[in-house]
Amino acid sequence: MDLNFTAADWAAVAPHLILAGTVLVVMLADLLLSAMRSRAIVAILAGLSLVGVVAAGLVALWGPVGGGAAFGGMVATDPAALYVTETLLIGGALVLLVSAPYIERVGMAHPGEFFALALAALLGMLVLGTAAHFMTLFLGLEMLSLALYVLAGFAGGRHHSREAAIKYFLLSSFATGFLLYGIALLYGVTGHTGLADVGAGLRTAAQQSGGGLMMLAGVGLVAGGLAFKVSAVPFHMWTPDVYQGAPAPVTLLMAVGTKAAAFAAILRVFYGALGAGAAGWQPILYALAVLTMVGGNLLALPQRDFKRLLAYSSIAHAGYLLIGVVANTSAGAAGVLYYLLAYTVMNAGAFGVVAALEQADGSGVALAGLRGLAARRPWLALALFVSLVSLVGIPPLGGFFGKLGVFGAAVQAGHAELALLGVVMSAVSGYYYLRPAVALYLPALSSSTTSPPDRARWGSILAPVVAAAGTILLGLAAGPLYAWAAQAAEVLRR
Amino acid sequence: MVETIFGIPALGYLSLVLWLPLIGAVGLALVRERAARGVALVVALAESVLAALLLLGPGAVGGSMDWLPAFGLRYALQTDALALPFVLLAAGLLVVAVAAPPSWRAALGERNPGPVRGYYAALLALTTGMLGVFLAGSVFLFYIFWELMLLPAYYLLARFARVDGPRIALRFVLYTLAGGLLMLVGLLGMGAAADAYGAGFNPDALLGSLGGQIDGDTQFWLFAAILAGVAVKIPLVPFHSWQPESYAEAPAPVAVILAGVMAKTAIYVLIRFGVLVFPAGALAWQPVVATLAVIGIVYGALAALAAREFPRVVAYVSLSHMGFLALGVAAGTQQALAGAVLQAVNHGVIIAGLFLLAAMLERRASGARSLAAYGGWAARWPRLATVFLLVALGALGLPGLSGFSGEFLILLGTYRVLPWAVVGALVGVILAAWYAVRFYQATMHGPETPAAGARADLTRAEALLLAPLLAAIVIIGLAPGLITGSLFAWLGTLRLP
Repeated sequence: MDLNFTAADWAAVAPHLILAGTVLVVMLADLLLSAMRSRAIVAILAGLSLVGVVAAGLVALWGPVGGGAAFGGMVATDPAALYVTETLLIGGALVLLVSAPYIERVGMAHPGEFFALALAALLGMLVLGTAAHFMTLFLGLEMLSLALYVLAGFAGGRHHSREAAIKYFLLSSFATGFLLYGIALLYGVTGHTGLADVGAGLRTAAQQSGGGLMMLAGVGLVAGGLAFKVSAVPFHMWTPDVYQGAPAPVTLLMAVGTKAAAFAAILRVFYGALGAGAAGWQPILYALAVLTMVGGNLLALPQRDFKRLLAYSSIAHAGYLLIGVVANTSAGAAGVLYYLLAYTVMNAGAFGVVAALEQADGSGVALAGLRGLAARRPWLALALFVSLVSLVGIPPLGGFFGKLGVFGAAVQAGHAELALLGVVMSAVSGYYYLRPAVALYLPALSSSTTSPPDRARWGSILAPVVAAAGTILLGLAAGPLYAWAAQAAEVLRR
Repeated sequence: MVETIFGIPALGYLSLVLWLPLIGAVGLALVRERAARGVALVVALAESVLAALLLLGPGAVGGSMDWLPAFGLRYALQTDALALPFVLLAAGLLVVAVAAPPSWRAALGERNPGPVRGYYAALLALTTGMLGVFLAGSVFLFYIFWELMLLPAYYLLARFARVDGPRIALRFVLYTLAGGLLMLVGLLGMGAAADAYGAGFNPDALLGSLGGQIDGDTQFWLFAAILAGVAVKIPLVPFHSWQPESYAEAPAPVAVILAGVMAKTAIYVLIRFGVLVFPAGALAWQPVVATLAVIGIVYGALAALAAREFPRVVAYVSLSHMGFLALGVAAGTQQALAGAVLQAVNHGVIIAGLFLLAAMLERRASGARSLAAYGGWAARWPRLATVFLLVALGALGLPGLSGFSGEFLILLGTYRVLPWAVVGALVGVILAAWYAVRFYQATMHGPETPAAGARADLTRAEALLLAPLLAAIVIIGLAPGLITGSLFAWLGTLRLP
């Protein structure tokens, strides 16, 4: 590998560098500001972090879009990488908007570490989402996971939070091990670790020997490792407990960031690099998609805790997204990419409201407590309503067009049965999404009318409302935005 | 198709017709509770004027612009001889529903009757959803409005249904959502079919001449998907279980909209995006749809005979009547289709009258709904009795009133292709006379029940509310050609059996 990096290489990772710089700035600022009042510290740190994320997003948007990969094929620099970068940074910005009022309200300790770790996780997601090489893919995965292990346990006084951290750490380590083993096997078959080279190598190997157990095992292990990160059934066991136990902003970061980055990686590996040899992996992802859709939706039905319900439903969404990958067409990839953006925004709305309601001890997010929210917190209720309706996939909101994209691609690719299962499961999801959505506007049950005093009212409203507006925008302005996703999908496979 | 109406772009004018109720609904957030009904009424009246003006425009107008080219989704609105009667029905019944007293939104004596603004906003938003289905000129656009109807309807039922609102509403929504999503697969299949015939992923291509050309097997499945969506909403019999309690427990004005207009969106969709697009598919499914329709006619009539509470009787009457509409669409001949559209309007008007009368009777009987609590009121309230008799006769299809003309056309058109179904439907006609006489006698004749006391005969406000409906029943009964004239001309341009 050539180690003489050019200016173009560095320019390609400018967003990553800006984020990394912001992590350092935030840590330094935390050190210098320690004498100030905690409220001011949180505001300044959140502001610095947000500036870093926005700057990274703008630099990525205005910078040159390369046609291939930087650093000798380690980092992708194409329209797809740009699209994923922007999706992740939008999610990251919303997470920061949710975090600041949350930290202040529940009085969480160590805000400096929180923001630094959140930004580091975001950086890891960025690396994972734009990886063009198994090594960068692994690096990104580890970076985001390490930061999230700590973040999941951040509400230290809370028993569930520590449980979440341990659980996530143990299970995730195993999954990462599987992934690494899969990569090693694929290296054994092909002699490469670059995604494009592995793809080409596997094609040659398949032609010569007709596949072989080692190749199948490698592909399967890689699929399993990534499936863990997107919480596909049967690799989902950790999700409900971790999502429920972690502080709400961290849950949001896991739900939208990890999923978007991991799906970007899945698209690059399976659709992009291994697309031509789809027969090897399509059955695996097909089975995962079916299990995930059915499992996620059915398990969400009996939930009484809203946060836990959203955790299960996020599993279900991974199932819909996998349909788009299984279709193995550029329409399917475009659907996945658009779905990810819509998913990021509408989940930011839903988890943002959870963050605004959650108490320091993790209570306050029971499903029954949502009844009558509109009378107490009209804007919060409206934002949640829009997000939930979009999560069902009711038009004309963003979620509908995401589903339209992946289901449409499945029908076009001759997998109408997957689309059929998808819509049946969407109807099931109508039960658990629409019931709370309408309950918001019903009169409150007498016991739950006492709303806790809330100092950071404005701050906690901001992120959900912005997210809800984005959800609507993703529906009404679907034309140009979808064209962007389609253009990004176009370059994923060359 | 003409692109302008009254000198302005048709897309703009139709957009105004479409969005005005929703704009009104959003606007209600800015006014006080007391003013809500007045504002809603102004919006509804303006809406009906805008819709009525379409009668003066060219017969078929429309316009379109791109929205999401990747899926052939256009923002395309149009109206023609098929859509116009439905649009007028929606606008007209909106006025009736909004004009009904706001206190009707809750049962008599309900302690927490719910917000007036939310109630009217939901009624208005629901109307935009329904109008969108009638006006949509693009497949996915129609689907968007089809699903949009769900949310306001869900809210209206969950918040305002007399008893057990959240459960009834959830059942209604899940049934409808499941049907709608199955239909979505069909619409995606339409895109794929168009793609297979070289038109790109663009389901709208099938609305043109391509529709009839695709192979029979594909048509069979695509029609089945459309059918799945509408079967719940019409409703056809095995999918009807949400209907009686939803209609009966909803406030009367909401039932007017649900039974009078929302059910018609399904009939409209079955014609516009089903029978006309997939003639071979429709033919293959004809026996099934016709059988279910006849079962619905007879079952609804029998259930109406057996039901004890008057609103529930009316709900079953609606079920029976909707069977006639479905039968007409299934037959698919010119006469049957024209009859189905005509009867869609008639049924909307008559069922609205029955639900409103049910509310008036309920309020006179201190909230009692059971027919057993009614009786002998003709002598005390002659004007109410006369109006009630007129509507009841319309419901049983007396010649000279509107209900007859539509049913007759449907049966005439159906007889040519499905004579056995007509025999079954005629049983329903006989039963209709029976149930109409039964509920009229139970309320107006016999010994007077003590519950009836202080209330006056038909008040001026009540008379004003029912007047447009009565006028429609009589006028359409005498001159059905007002609706069928342009319809036959339009159907004549299509190749129908």
